[in-house]
Amino acid sequence: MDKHSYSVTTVGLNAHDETIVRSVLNLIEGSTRDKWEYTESFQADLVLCDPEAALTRIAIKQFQETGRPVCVAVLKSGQTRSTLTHFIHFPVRASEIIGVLDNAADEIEHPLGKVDSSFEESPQIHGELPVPDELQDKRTISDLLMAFARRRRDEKAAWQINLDGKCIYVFEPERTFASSIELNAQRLNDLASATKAPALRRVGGIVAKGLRKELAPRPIDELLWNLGLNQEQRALLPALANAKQIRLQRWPDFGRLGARKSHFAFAALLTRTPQALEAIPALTGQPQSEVYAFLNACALCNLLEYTTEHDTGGTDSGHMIKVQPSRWSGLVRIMRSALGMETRAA
Amino acid sequence: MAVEHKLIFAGTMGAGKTTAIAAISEIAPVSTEVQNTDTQTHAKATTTAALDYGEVTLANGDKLRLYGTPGQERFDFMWKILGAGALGVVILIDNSRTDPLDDLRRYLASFADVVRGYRAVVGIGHTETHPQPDLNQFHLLADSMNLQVPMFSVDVRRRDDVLLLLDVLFHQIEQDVQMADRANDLETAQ
Repeated sequence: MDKHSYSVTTVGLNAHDETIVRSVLNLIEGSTRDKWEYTESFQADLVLCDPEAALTRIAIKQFQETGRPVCVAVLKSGQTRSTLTHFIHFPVRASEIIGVLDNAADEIEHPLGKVDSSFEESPQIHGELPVPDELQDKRTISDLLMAFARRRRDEKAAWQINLDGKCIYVFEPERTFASSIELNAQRLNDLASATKAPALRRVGGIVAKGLRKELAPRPIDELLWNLGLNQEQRALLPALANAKQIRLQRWPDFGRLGARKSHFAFAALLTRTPQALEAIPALTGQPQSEVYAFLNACALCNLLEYTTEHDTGGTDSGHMIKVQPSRWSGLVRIMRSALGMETRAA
Repeated sequence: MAVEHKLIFAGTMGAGKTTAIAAISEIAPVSTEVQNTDTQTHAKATTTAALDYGEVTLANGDKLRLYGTPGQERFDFMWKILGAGALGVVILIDNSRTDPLDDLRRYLASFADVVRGYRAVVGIGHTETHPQPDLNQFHLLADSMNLQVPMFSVDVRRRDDVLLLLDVLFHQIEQDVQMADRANDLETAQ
């Protein structure tokens, strides 16, 4: 008998529990009647979920409306399975999970609940609506997010960006994003350095509504900023590889994006006059890796201007300010100290 | 002899000037308050008639004096007077007001010299509940006035946000120092 292939994901489990579940899934590979592949996409065939998690409610609602995904509660001591018909107990045992996956496969093939076939066939739910030209053929997730940031739409739409199984959701017209997984530094690094092109699909109305409500979307530029700061090995983005003179169009919104101490020095320097790329570390007393991280973040947020030729008149020279240097630099240090701020690094 | 330095907090009524000064002043801010006669645009019972005052004593004996300008337009003649000789100006904008872009336009016009001297910073409040106009629109306004000024989304009830605004001003001053040093070095070398 031919094996069918299905996708499975976890929802609402903490990182430790998710790791254990994924380990067991790897362990039982070949033991189930069908083939099960783990994905981080929310739109899997089956979700193993914490019955009390907010995202579980979205999954259940989608199942009730469309027959997918099949929801399996992973129950810890004291938890009840709520409205879910399938459940396993934590700690997860291989035999129990094999049984529930085999049963769930039957339900996926022969749904018990009413499935609205017109809903099922609607391209809006399956994401088969054509992807607009300006969003196509993007090689990196940053390129795709920048394309979303530039788009101006009045119509509501939600998109799923899938990169190696890691999913980011983008919402229009708000130009916000959300993720069902925590975007820590390692995950950001993985997203920023992925070599595979991201896959883009439209997200159906019920899921989109639920995601908007449950995941608290944030402006896209916050994700772009953090992707820029977390490029692998702090290398300069390819787009900046030939940059000779660099200028910042405006200060980044540190009130919302956050800032490291070095970022203030970079912004104060680069908003005044264009600077040669190689001169910035010496002018600010900061290491090249910090300079590159900042420039990457600014480039992704469309805050940089740069030329690929040296402009002999543009660098910081001949700018005469009538300042008493020794008085002011000492005074700023004293004021920072009085206000309880860190003193600027020398 | 101790020197006095002046830092100005400007902005419309309710933008958070008093709150910002209170966040950093070592004394309880002194406010001169009268009844708010403009309750149609703002529901506050009282408003600052002349100014708020706070202070910070520095380790070398100097004083950093903090002045909040009166928010109502009928007191706008005081803005330039207070701004003269100031270390810098913090302009606070309330994004929940009817026309925050026009508010910023008036303050940028009044403090244009200070802005051109890289001694101004703008903090925009209530952006979480009132995301429009967004920061890009404020920057475009400044561009149309041939001015460039650092602008940030802030909540001045958070002390760290007030310190962020001041830290930007301090970095601007330090940038002037560094540029002057480099220019002096260049001159000496020639």
